[in-house]
Amino acid sequence: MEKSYFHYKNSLLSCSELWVTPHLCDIEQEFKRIDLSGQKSINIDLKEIQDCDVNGAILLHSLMQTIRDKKISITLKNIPTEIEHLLKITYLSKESPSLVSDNQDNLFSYIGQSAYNVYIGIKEYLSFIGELTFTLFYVIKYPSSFRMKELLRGIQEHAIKALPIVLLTSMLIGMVIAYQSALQIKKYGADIFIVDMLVISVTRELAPLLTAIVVAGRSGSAYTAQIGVMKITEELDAMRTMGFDPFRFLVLPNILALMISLPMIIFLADIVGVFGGMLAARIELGITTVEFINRIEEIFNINNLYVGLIKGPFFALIIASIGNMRGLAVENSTESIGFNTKASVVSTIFMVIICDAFFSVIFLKLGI
Amino acid sequence: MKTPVIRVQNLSTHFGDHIVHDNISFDIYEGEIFGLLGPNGYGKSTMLREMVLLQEPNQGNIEVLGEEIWQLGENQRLNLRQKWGVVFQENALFSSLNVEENISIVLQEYTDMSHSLIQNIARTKIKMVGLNQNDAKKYPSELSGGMKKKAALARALAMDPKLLFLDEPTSGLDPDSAEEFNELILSLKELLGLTIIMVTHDLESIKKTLDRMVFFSEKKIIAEGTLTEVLNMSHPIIDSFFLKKESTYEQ
Repeated sequence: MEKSYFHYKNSLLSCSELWVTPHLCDIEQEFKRIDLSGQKSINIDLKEIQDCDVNGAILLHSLMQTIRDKKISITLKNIPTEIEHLLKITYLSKESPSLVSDNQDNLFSYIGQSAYNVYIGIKEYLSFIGELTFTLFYVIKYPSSFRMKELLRGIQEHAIKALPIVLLTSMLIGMVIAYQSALQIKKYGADIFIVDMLVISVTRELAPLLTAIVVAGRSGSAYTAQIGVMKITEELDAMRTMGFDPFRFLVLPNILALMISLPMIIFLADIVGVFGGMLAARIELGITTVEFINRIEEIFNINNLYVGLIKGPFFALIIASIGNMRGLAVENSTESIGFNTKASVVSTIFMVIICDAFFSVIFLKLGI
Repeated sequence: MKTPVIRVQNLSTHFGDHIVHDNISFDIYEGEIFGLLGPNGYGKSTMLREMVLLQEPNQGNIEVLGEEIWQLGENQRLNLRQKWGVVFQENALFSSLNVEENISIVLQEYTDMSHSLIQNIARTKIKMVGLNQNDAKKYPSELSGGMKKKAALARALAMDPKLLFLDEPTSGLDPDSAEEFNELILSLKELLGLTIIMVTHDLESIKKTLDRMVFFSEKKIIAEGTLTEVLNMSHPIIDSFFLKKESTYEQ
């Protein structure tokens, strides 16, 4: 038989059983089924309660409040001393703040808030770039204050260790592009032109963009998370008190390291991407390695390579500056790290693509 | 009074070659405030972590509320975890939740109580640990050290546990806040009949609050009992632990 916590008869409500945390929801449910309508006053008998903990006493308070809200007066009877004690310490005076939620979001406030956040974001980015420039000039004036060790470590962590994944991606994309276009090109008998198409698209667009996107996902998030945690654990403050400016010790080396190494990664990605295309061309179209390389020599304009490489430092600046800035923007909660890391990767990839489109327009106008 | 709620028997722990506990045993009885004392690095916090199922000992048994905790299945462990509260040294409040949400999250997870009752409970706990009702909506980053400690205590008390574990509760608090916290612990023990296990270095806490204690040193427990009993054991490490602190105290 189901346990019963209440027994109600002739305006006497007797409470019984265990009023302890695991049972409280059952007690709440059972109380809802009791019909107290038409009563002016009731007596509550607590004698039969076998055990009551703090949460049980809180429940008793809130049940009594519910009864009083129905304009029914209450008399407590046979209160065991222990429960009386608990009731005393759990008594909450009524002036506690209202339970109305302070949440007044609507569509307009949401749009306004988002627009304001974008404005704040741009302002923060400008001030970040300002401080970065200041640090750069400082380092140029006092070259010995530059952290060469951090720079080299940045190259090791964010460039050399990124090579396997970047190169693998590049090679696979080269193969896929070559394979897909081979099917079309065969129809026209223009087999050898696959070399032209492949070399130009890989060196001008695919290798730089793919490298930047992989590095943005890999390093952009790492910068944000690392600096964000350093901020929460007050490591950044500790550095400042020792006179180690975080911009000089962390941000500038990070950014320079990526700006130096990204063009080099792109160059390797070019080679591997074309190599991947060469494999696919050989399998699908039967173009031999010698033919392929001879064709490259015939048609290749070195400007295509430069166009791809020149994007490197710019992409690097975008990735590293947004990643580091987002790290510094972390506030005092773990949620903030998650938010900023996500924002860092998303806005980095977006900005890289915008920047790439911008370059396309410029190179088109310049006729390169 | 003399029912042990926690029994540690023949317990050994090592990290790699580094031996932390070598075959130690002690009992903690119902309704007492029990201290784990000793110099840094002698495995007090490790002991605490082993008692709350965070770290598995290499050998030996720990019985909590009559059950050998490291032999339990996942469901039984979950049940047991609702019967204790833990306050960590760094408080470990969930930084993305405000104080009230920090307290109510366990209640929401493990019970089917109504929203308003959970809110009532959270508010009552906030009041019981001496925080202001206005602090309920604040986030941990907006609280001072002493307030964070109280909020962490309120969270530990959410489910009305029988056992309360405290890891260096007064470290980082100023003497007044520490004093206040000690008073709070004592009054909660009186009011709720809790058994409290704490790791502490604070001499004032040791004097004021502890009923019994064990003293860890060099892989072993070198003293067990009330403060007077532990002080009567003449052992160089115990002497320096108390005397040095005593003398800095008197200055």
